[in-house]
Amino acid sequence: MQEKEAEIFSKYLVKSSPSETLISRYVLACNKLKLAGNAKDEKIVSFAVRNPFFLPLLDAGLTFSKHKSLLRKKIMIMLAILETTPEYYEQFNTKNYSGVKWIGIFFRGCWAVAKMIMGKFILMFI
Amino acid sequence: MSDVDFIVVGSGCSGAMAAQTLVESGARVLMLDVGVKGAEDEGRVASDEKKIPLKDFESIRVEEKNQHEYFLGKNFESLESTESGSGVQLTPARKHIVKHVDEFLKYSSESFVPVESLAYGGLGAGWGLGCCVYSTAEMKQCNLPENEMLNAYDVVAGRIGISADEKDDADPYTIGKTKNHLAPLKIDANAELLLEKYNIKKSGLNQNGFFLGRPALALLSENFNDRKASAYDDMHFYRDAGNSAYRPGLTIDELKKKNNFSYIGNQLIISFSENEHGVSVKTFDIESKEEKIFTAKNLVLAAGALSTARIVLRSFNSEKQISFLCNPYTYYPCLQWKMAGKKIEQNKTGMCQLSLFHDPQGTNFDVAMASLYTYRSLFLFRLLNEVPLNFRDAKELMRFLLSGIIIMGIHHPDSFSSNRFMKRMSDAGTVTKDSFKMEFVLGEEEEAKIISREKLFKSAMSKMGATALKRVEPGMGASIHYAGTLPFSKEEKELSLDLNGRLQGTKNVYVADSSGFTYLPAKGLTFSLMANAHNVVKKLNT
Repeated sequence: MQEKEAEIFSKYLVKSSPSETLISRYVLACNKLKLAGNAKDEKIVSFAVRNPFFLPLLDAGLTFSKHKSLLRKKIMIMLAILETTPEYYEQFNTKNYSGVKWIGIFFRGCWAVAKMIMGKFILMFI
Repeated sequence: MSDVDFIVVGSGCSGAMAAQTLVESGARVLMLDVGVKGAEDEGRVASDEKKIPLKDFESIRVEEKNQHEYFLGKNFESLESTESGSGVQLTPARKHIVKHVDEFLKYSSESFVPVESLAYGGLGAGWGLGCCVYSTAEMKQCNLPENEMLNAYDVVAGRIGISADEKDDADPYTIGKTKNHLAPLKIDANAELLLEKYNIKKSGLNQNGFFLGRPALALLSENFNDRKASAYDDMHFYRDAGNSAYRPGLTIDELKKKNNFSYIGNQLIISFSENEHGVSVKTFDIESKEEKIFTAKNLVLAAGALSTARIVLRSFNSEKQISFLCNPYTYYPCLQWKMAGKKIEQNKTGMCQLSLFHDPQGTNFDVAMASLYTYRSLFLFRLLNEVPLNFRDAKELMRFLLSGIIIMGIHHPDSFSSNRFMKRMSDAGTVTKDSFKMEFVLGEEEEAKIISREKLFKSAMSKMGATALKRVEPGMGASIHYAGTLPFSKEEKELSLDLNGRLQGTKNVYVADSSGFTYLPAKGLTFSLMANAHNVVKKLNT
């Protein structure tokens, strides 16, 4: 289950499958940190792993009500592991953006807010 | 009779300065301390720290495969819950600063979360390095002797190495008239732009009581004794190979080379008592789990205002409620729009870039202070965890905005009030047989004053092109500035200090930390703590 989580979270965050090393690192981190949630939390994680299409919406929806939910804690662990891996350095580093990129960033922000609303709606049925 | 002239309790900034002054005067000094180190090895630098390559932050990020071991911690300590517990915000290299605190410094509170330390170098091991002198009015309100303090600032600056700009608008609040300082440190592009905007809008901002400038930092801009100048490698939260940042452990390491100084670690101080020969100190050895007794002619308590109060209340078997001081603290992530969408430069420091002071009366009293930090080496994942958006979109947005982010941490001054107190309670389940109830609540008027002052700070930042995004209240105690537990008093009064730092009701017990301060300016207190520690012990006759 944790291996599958690592795979899905990595694809969600950096659009690529993690190496075996990173998967092991994620599993080790989850075990060391003894993450636990209530039944509802576990159900959300399980739903997200079975239906990765909904992961961005669930992640967004949880920022409304359960900012520190189990799903978000697990995504953050994968995020931290990816951020401290040289292969993904460019995906986390700042860079010089052209003027046109400002527009893209603005729409991305609007889209992120829309995801929050959709995610909140989906969470009502899990 | 003991052959030790002074026992100094605590190895933090106050203890280190007091011990150095005493050792230099020829006194025989024994320092007692718990002294938790980052690893079991000898010396100040932990073995884990030594494994970090001598490269800058960016180069390590690009090249080092095992960087997660020191950035996240071998046991992923950096990813532990950020909801509660002391020191949760510390990087793995600094986690030892709060080790054993929950076990040995028990407290209960509904309103206050203190950060205390039993580490080698105390809280000074993680000090933000900001140095500020108190003004004449502030020293008067604190009951500190002005002329002696001004001399002591120079002595301390000559020992620890302070980089400061004596020609900018912040200097009356930072380095003041202290002469013994080094050239200022370079600031990064984000801070540089803010300073440029300040200079354009300066007259209006000054009229509203705002003054911006470079902070005085105990971080070296040039080589100093055998310490190296800052490499601008942005690695200070993880390691400091050239010892460019002052840490009290550096002073203790040097003192250990002297014949008239000795250091005994693992000692949790329980209490003291006086007899005709001097002072005896009872400790609990956290390794052997045994109680021990040490004797000396004099005792200098420098364990920090809260810990010193614990020792004194226990020694006097007092259950009296005592007041204390703590700077209320909030912070605001701000965005300087013009800097967004730019790559952050490779060489910078992660320490405070600028200091913004609010002195509405122009009297250098009742001043509020904001420390302005830029953000990079604590990683995006910490920041994204606080952003109310999904992680993927938040990551892309923050990559774009990060170069313009400024964290404005605002400290407010504090005066005594009955809403803040600590009290000793019996607790048979602890090594010390007690725990402490601490409460710190702001009155409605105080809270209103803080909110209205912070509005002015936000407005000042806005005039300089930076928008405050969110107000974050980390909770009372988060400033880590505590004082006033045993206030200076001209009258003979229990649980207070005379103006020389002697604990009233004792003959040979002195307090060299902030316990005596009767007011707590918003300016960082560490430099004044060290100056006071030097003053308290320099007059003592060995």
